[in-house]
Amino acid sequence: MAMPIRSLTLGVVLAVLSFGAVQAQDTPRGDPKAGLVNFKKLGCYTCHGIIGQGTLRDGPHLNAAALGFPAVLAQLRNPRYEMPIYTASQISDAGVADIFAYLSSIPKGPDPKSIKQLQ
Amino acid sequence: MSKTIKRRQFLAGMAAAPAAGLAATAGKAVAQTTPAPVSSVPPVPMTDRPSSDTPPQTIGKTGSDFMVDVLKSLDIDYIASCPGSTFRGLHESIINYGDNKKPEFITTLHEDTAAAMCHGYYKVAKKPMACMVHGTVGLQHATMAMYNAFADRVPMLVLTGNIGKQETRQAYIEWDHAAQDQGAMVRDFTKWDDQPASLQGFAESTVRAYDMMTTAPMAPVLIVADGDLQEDPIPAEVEKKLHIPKLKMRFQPAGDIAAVREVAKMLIAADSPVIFANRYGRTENAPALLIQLAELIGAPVVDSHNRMNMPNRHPLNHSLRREAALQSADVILALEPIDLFGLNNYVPDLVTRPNDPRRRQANLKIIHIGTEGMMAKSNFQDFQRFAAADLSIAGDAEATMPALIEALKTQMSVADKNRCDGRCAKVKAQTAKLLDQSRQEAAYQWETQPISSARLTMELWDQIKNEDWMMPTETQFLSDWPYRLWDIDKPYRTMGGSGAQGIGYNSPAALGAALANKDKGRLTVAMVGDGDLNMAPGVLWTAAHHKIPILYLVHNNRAYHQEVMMILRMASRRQRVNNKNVYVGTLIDDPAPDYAKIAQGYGLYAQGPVSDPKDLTAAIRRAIDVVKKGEPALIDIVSDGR
Repeated sequence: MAMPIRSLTLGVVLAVLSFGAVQAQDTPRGDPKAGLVNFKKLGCYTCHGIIGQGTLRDGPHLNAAALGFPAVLAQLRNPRYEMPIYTASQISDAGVADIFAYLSSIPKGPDPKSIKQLQ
Repeated sequence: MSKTIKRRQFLAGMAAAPAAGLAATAGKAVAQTTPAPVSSVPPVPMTDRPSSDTPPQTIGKTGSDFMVDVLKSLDIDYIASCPGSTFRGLHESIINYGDNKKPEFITTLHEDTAAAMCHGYYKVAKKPMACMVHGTVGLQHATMAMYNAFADRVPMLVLTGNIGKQETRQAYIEWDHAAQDQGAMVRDFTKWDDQPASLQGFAESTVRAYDMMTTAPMAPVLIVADGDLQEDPIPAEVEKKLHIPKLKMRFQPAGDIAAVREVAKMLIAADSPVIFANRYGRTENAPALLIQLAELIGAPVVDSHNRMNMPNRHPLNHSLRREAALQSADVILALEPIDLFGLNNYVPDLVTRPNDPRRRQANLKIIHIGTEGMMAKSNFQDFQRFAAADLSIAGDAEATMPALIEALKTQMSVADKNRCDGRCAKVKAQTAKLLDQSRQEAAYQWETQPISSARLTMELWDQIKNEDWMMPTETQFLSDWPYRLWDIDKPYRTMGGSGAQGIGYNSPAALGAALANKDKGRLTVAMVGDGDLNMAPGVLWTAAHHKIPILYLVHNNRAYHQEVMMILRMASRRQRVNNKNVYVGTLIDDPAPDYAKIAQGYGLYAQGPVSDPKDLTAAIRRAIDVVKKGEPALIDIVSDGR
């Protein structure tokens, strides 16, 4: 699921504008544990990091809440820019919902001010 | 000379002598029953043999002793090598005649390591190191590191041996290792090579090679030292005439002054100039000059990190908002950009590989100052796709900088200066929030397992930030965290990358850097990938043997991670990403190598594998204590891919 960092801005903006408003009713219930399995199996983690934190050159931070499920699904099925395509034969919509549930379950992370090593 | 002998004649005689002696001795006892063994080595005429009562010896100064004089005249501190018989004369002269000082023999376990150490050493010491590689076979081992250095425009003196005269070569091995033209193997990625036929020729060619390789554009050079020349004594009449040329006042090629004035004119007229620096910083003066230029014209600087160009936290350093800065430019001043085409274009990794021009101002003008066009070879394509600038100056960018700054000061009116000062303040304000954004991103991944690249790098930073540190390794596989969050403030903190992206650069080049840092008392911290370390694990023994202080942190993602992504991309494009074999060939797992044990086996202090991020602080602290005592250390850290 590689996507260069420069496509991040466009992707996020379009996703939020297009789908953010309908996110709640369009998000199927997924299983976070199964989502983690899919996230690893399909290699999503290789470009986006194990918690979707993003890597500077290979894939953006996957902020599931900001993106919304329809945008995530659309990006997999008809990817913008360099991200590889993942069709329904590779992962079902339900499988994508599991990934979305996994990404949504990840806590926000601590306040950087609370981490000595980041000061 | 009565008891001396030409080396090759002596060797040939010794090769035949045991067989002849054996035949004579055995003949007394078993002459009636056993025929004398038949030697496959042709007998050497008695007239060419040494007398049996006095062992043959070389008296007086040898050719390789003089070669050491030449190396000493060039102030070469170290010569890295693993031994090879084609240069045994020179090897012996370095350690005995030269007292193993200037150059000191650094023992490596692979020629690629020797050459890569030269690469890293130069980038810190700013003076070349030498390596000595076996004829043909050793030279082939060294080639990848030499190519990296060539692509990175870094000099090194590569010496190899060759038994040039066919009639004095021993059977098999010396023929296998001899070549009609050793330089042919590396001519595509050296600046110059020579195979001198005399000692005077060796002196002149080696000094010429040194002169050429240290004049921009820089690159490795090869000198072939003939075996007979090395090992034979120097005839008295020859020795009297030998002399070593001295290099005196030398300067780098700076840009034409009239063209520089034109550049100043364009920069003063620009509304939104941007500076792009790639292989710009040649000396430790470079960052200060670049800051002076950027502040003078109020321009953001985009740094591609292939040299230590500019402190990362300087408010005019806009590398973290590269595209935003470049999109705003009406003039881009590109300093040793390497890839002028790639500065404004992108070829995405899609099936059709379309050219995707970057979004730029319609009236954008490109100024190029660099040496790229001053040395190019045809075969290997490291010169990148061609793009023309609006104004191009052939000359070393750093050497041109003082003239450009002076021209700007001379040509700027008071109104120009006020306008630039105002712009400078605005440009500086644009970077104010970048550090906080990066901290936020690092915090998000702080607790993950495998350990995130942000955690790995920032745990290290927390313990070196009050030291005089130097980080010699590439960071693109670590999401560039050091450039995002460390304070890279001194002109020697970093040194750029491999040049040609040949894996196996980081571990040995870092050791070369550490060798240069050793005398300066700097703490060298190298973050290397597991794939990289596996290309040259023997470098750890060299570090231990020579007591070179360096901390290796192994960013162990248990894979050739770049290729994991590449194969997944292929499989997904072909709808085969679910195939059970999709990770075949890209993982370094099952069994997972234990790099701490490997390092311990080579004699290093080592810890790991460290899997829990909470264990990092103590592990790094212990390892740094070891390094500060003058020893190498290694920590194996099980890490996320990037």
